[in-house]
Amino acid sequence: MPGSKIIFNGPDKTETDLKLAIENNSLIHIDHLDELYLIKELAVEMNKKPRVAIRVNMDTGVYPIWDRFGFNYENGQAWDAINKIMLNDKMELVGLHSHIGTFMLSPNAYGIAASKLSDLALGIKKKYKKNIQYLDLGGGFASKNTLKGSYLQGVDTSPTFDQYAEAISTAILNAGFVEDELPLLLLESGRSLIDEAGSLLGTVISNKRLSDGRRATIMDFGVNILFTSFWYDHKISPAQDFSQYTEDAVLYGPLCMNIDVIRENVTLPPLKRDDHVVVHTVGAYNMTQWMQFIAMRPAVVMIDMNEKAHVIRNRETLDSIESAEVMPEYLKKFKL
Amino acid sequence: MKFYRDSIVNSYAQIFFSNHKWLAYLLLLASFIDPYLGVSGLIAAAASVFFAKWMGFNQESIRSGMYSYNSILVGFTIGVFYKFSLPFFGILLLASLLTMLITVCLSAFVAAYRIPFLSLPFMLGVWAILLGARGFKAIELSERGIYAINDLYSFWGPDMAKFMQEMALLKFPLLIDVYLKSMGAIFFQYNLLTGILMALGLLIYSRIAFSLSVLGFLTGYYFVQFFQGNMTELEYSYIGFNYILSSVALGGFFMVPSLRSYLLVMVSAALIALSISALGNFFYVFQLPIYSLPFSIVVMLMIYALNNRYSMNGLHMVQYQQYSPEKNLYTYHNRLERFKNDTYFHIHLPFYGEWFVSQAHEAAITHKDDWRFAFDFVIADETQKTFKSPGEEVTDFYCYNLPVLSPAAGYVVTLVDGIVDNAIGEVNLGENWGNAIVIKHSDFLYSKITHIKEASFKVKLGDYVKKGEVLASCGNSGRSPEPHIHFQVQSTPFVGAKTLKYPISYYVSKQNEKYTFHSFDYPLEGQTIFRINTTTLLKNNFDFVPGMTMDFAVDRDGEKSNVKWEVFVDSANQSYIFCHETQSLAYFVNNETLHYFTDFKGDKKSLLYYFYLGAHKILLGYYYELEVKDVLPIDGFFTGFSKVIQDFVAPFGIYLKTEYSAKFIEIDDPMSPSKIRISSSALVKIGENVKRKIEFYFVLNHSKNFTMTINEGKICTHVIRIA
Repeated sequence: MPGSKIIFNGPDKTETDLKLAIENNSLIHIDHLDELYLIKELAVEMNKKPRVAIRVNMDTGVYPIWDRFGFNYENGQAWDAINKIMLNDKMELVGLHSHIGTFMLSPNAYGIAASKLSDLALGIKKKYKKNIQYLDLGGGFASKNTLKGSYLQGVDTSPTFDQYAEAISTAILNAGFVEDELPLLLLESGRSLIDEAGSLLGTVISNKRLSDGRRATIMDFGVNILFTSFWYDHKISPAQDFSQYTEDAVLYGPLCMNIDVIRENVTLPPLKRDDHVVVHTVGAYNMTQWMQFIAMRPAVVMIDMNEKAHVIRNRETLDSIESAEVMPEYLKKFKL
Repeated sequence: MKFYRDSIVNSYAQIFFSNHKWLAYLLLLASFIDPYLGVSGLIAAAASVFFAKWMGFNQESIRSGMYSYNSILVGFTIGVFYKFSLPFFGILLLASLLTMLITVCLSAFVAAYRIPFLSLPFMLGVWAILLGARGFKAIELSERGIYAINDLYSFWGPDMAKFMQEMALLKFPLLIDVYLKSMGAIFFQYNLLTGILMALGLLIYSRIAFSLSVLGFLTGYYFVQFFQGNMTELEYSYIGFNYILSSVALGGFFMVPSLRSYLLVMVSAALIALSISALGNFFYVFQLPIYSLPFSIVVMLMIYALNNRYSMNGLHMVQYQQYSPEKNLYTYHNRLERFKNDTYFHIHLPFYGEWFVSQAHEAAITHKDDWRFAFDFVIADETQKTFKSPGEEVTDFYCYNLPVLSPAAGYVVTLVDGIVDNAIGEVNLGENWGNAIVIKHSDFLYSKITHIKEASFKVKLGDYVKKGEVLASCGNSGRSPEPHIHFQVQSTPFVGAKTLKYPISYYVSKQNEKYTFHSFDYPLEGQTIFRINTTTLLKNNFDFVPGMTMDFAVDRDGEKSNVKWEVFVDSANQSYIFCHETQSLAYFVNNETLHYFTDFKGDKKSLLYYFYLGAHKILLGYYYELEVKDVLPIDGFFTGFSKVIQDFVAPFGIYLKTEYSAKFIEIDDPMSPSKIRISSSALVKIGENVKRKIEFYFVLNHSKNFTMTINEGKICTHVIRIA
């Protein structure tokens, strides 16, 4: 991937990182003034004109406001940063970026964000005769997962892509851009694209009754593998024939820790040891946050369009952990 | 001084409707074979130019020789008729002034009828002098015409006289002899040498004019012979040149040379033969010569008549005079090939993004009869499906509710709203057009978009809308089984109006990830098409605004130089790049979508000419590997022997084919590019045999300091814009 096609975003960008980004003509989304000043210094030092955008936070009617990232729209910080870039002439302002939250269930919030960014872009055009080339509306689009505490299922409550598209494009088209100067729209739709593409296959270890009589089922995967079960009520279905009788149950993971709960309350047919289950919609945020606690991480398999399976990540072995470890010399002689 | 020199020299060339320097000097030389005539002609030319300048007539017209060429002919006549003496020069100056004044008046008078004045002022001037001089005894008739050799002897010496005598004894075939002498007769010199010099000048100036002169003369000659006319008159007096002048004028100067113009020349030659006889008999009564009167009358008659044709098909008038039959012809063909389909008013596609043409012109379903020139647009996926499953609701259709744009600027003159969207598969035959909008772009030019979503209009009746403005949303109202845009151009404001065949100005079609550029073309059924998105980097680099200067560092195989250009705009609002050093200019058009050159004048070895070739047509929106093709004017681009042959046969067919093509080859970053590379080539070929080929590479960047590399044969030239 050529560096010029990479957008470098986030609050933590080291000097080395920034140098690499500038060297490769990457797009840098500036998060705070200290970063802006550092890029300015590096631009002079490297005699290059970095391509930058600023991250803008704003009130979109959804709370909490993610105002810890970027420059605020309402209180003028965003214009302050824009002026600092435009008047200094050491950087080229090519885009504007916002990322208003996560798992946003209101498309209208994106409409508000799009019109506020468009307003900034048109203001820049008016004040500096400079066309902003893209608006990056960031991510936060909801997948079909069900958030914990939600009354209805995610499939029913999450907006469709069409609803998001309608809100964003209507706002931009009505903002008042000249036809030829309409900015490019970038979206960071990672979770909503990939979440439904991933499923986790697991096996029942055991059944037991809790002290209050509730049924408990222990699975061979827990929060170590399925990190997102902290905030989603994942849909789980049995993977073999089952009876018509169901019972409320608690689903536990295999860890020796009390927090290892996958579902606090799920209605499932009775499962027996070695039965298989499918956990749906696990494509996003799991493989980036899972851990090797007690159990090794499983293999990842991809099923392609022609229904052929390919292993794309091997099951971990002890070596996966040990290979990165270093034993101090004096401990090597220690005899058990 | 340069003004006087140019004006006088051009006067000579004007006699053959030219501004060719070589021809002018050869004619001047030829006129001095008889020195008395040479001197009188030159004095007449100089005097009229001086008088015209002094009286303050249009400088450009004077410089072109337009006001003075008739005076030269009058000068020759006076030189032939009267003896050199002091009164002679008096009458010569007076005649020049008179002829110039007649020319000015006549040119203003006939311009209203779109006809040229030709050599009518010459005839009027000559008659005025011949009739007038009869009353002045100081002006004596000359006998020189009778003893021509004596004059030559006394002026040029014995060698020349001997040479001329030997020339006179040369036995040319009769036809050639008469042709050459008739040619010389234009200058009142009935000898072979003058004729040869003039014919040579004509040949150098234009192959077409030369062949026309031969054709016209032969037709006239055989016509007179066949009808048993006065052959003596044709062979021994100042009359044969009427055929020559009229054929050059009609066949190649006022008309675009073609098979039909050649036929016209033959018909006119017959008419001239008739009018020579008619006018001769009439003016004999007054003892006045008719000289070039038949030519002037017949040509004026023809042009006035042809200008008043209802249909201009077949014989084409030259619209932009270039003072050369070849240039007129090649320019005509070049314009025809390049801009044949161009419309003055540009109509664009009425949507954003890639759409699919589900019905084009003259289609099987509904685009028939009076409504056959319409388009239906939908959005289709890679399997050509227009909806996502299950496709039972209008909202399942990809194009539903998407913005509909104004195809061009205009007023909203008709607006229908309030018709609900149909369920999928149903049609509303009662209100078949559904919700509709008609925009008036100009008189008799309207565009209509129908089947719009109810209550989605963003404009109202009477609004002025700009090109690309969002009008409404795509819907499914009217006779529409599934959401689509129906788009048509029409000449009336009514919703049910019949359609008008009108091309879409610029768009790109896409097939198998390959882009094709279309200009003034008609989208076809099954094509995936979109509007052209311009690229700022390209626009900036080809943004040549009047007053701007450009400096270039040129490295031609190690030989270094600097070139400076300036951009101007003329009174006709035509922009051009001017090179001060070579006095060359290249006319261009930038219409926000395309940059293209339209004309070049000046030094064909200059850098500007190479830029004119290399950047002949550049699309201002980047699409990977998209190729823009064009043709180049052959004149000046190729000068081999086959070009001479081509000139002769050009009216009947052009076998030297030119090709231009420009291709985008690289962009560093499609989103915010800082470097774009374009390769282009210009070539001329006969069949598949390439006779000349030049390759160009452009590297464009943000600072507008683009580089151009020119490769021709083994010679490589690097050009960098430095300011």
